[in-house]
Amino acid sequence: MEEVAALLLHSMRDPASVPGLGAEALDDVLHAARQHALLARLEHDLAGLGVLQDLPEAARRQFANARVRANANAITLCFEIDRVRRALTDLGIRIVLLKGAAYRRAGLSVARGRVSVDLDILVSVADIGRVERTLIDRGWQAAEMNRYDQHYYRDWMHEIPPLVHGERGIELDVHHTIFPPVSEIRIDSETLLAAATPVGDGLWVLGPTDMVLHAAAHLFQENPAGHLRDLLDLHDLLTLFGQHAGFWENLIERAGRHGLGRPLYYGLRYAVDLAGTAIPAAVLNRAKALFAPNAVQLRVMDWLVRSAIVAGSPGQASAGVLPRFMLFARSHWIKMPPAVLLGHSLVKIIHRMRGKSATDTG
Amino acid sequence: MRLGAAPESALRAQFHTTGVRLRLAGLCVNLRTDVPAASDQILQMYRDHPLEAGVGIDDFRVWLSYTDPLRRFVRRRIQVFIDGATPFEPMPHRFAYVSIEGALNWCISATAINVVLHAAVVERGGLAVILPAPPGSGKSTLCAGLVMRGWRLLSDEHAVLRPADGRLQPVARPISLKNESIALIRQWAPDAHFSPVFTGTIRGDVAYLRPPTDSIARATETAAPALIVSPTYQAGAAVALQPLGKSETFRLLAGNAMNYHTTQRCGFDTVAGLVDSCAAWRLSYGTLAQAVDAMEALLARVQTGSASGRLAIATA
Repeated sequence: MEEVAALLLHSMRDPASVPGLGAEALDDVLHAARQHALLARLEHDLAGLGVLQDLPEAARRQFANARVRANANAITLCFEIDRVRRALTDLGIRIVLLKGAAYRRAGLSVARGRVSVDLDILVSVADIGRVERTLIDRGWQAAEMNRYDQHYYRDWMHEIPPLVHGERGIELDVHHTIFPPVSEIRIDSETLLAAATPVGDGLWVLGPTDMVLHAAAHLFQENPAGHLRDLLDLHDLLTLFGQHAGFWENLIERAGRHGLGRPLYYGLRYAVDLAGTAIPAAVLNRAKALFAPNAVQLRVMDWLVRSAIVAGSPGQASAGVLPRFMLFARSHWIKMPPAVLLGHSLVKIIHRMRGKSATDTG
Repeated sequence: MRLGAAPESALRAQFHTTGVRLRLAGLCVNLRTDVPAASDQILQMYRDHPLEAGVGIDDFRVWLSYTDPLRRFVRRRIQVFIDGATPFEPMPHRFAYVSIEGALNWCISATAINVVLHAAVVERGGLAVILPAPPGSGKSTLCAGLVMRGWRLLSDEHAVLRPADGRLQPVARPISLKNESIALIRQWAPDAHFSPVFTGTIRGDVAYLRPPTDSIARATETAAPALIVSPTYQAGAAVALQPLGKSETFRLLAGNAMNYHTTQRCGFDTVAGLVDSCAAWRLSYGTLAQAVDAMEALLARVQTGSASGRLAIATA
């Protein structure tokens, strides 16, 4: 792991150490925290420890700025959640909030200082057509998209093409499951909906085990490069739910049922390794016995995750270029069967050469 | 030390390595680039700006480079990164300096501890005038016209208001002129330093005017807002001043604010306080000379009227 990456990780794990940093190290930590959208979370923790005033004025100014922006983002997100709820209320269906929206509405500590750029919801696969039509009736618009990208979402992905409200900027992603069906992993939306927890106003969030599995799948079935924030999400969720009786047993059982054992194992392993999460040794051993890859694969994955989960600074020579590329390739390899992946890569390369690829469908 | 006083070769090297740190609107922005077209222009246009020490705490780190190694040589394209994010699409290499200015605008608009309005700000005799207006209304042109007649430049783009005391924080960056304004201001101020004209940007032709050294030297000196004047250029129009109502002024300022939604209650209170404390006018004009004269006359009335200046103007 590179020096700045280690410094950021250490600062997030142990915020009390931040006021003791020298000017140069503090500057690097702040830059890395901005880059990973972690400044407001760090501010929250430093304020909680009562050590903000021990920092230089230039650092306090940045933290104050991050706090204002994160608060505004939270208000915007709650407003947008409410707009979606109102738009869909007549359908009488379960609307499950995912990720940042769920953390915020469920009042979990993981929402502190967390900035969301989009709103993710999950509905039953049977309702997806009605939900999409209703949202479009009520002012949301589908982004302009070529036929290939439409096909990519409609036939392969776990969500429909993103929607944006005509008068507001925030993107709405409507999911019908938590992992792309084009992969071998097929998770029934009904199973997720049945285990959901109500949070009031007819809104729901995933049950604790599904919430953790979604976070782990999002991170380790896709590309973890530069996604330290998501690992810290996972750390917070595991720390919180780990105190509930029966949580760990349910988690391992549920992961096996969903076919998400491997990403769960990685999630547990790197949460302990990088974020210092307290997970009982018996749970780790059991997850390892059931879900771990072979020793060689695991060594490679260790190297990839440790060298790439904290992004390098653009324009600075970085040892992380190869691991980042390998993780990017891996995420596609996992997501798509080889024939689909080959076709998809060719289409993307052709679009890129023509300079047409405006979408970021990966 | 000023940028222009530092050894050029050392600065050029610094652009590649640790970056050149500029202080703007109370922020410290670290500029790093390996594109000479960008660093050459920065050295010219920011010649009189103070150079911050090599080590310190940056509010933003800006990195401008070629989109990929091949693009360094053929069909050159550049990309700007702000703290690792890419808020703008890649651009042709000839817009390297335009990208830097765009990135600096982004940094100033992204700060939420001050309320940032989309307006030019000039000052004379301790009285600051805010010029809010939609793009194309001649705000930057009038701003440049005044600054080249001895007014102090605070900003041609951002009225940065401190919520604590309602005072304006200077930004003092190059003034961006578009299309016909470029030739107009060249004629108005033949001795001023201009960047090359960048043709074919999304806003048409753009050129930058280096601010007077005095405005830059006083860039840490805040100013109290005294007047709000919304300029409207109309070819052939006679010069006219009309009073602007409080609610219309509020809408004009808040509606064009860069971070009004982010600053929430504080944004509302700050803009409301500003509108309450300043007289506001709409200025229509057909020539720059008319507009500059009208502004000078208006300011003179405020100055001579001292405390009752607002009343005198309102009844004039």
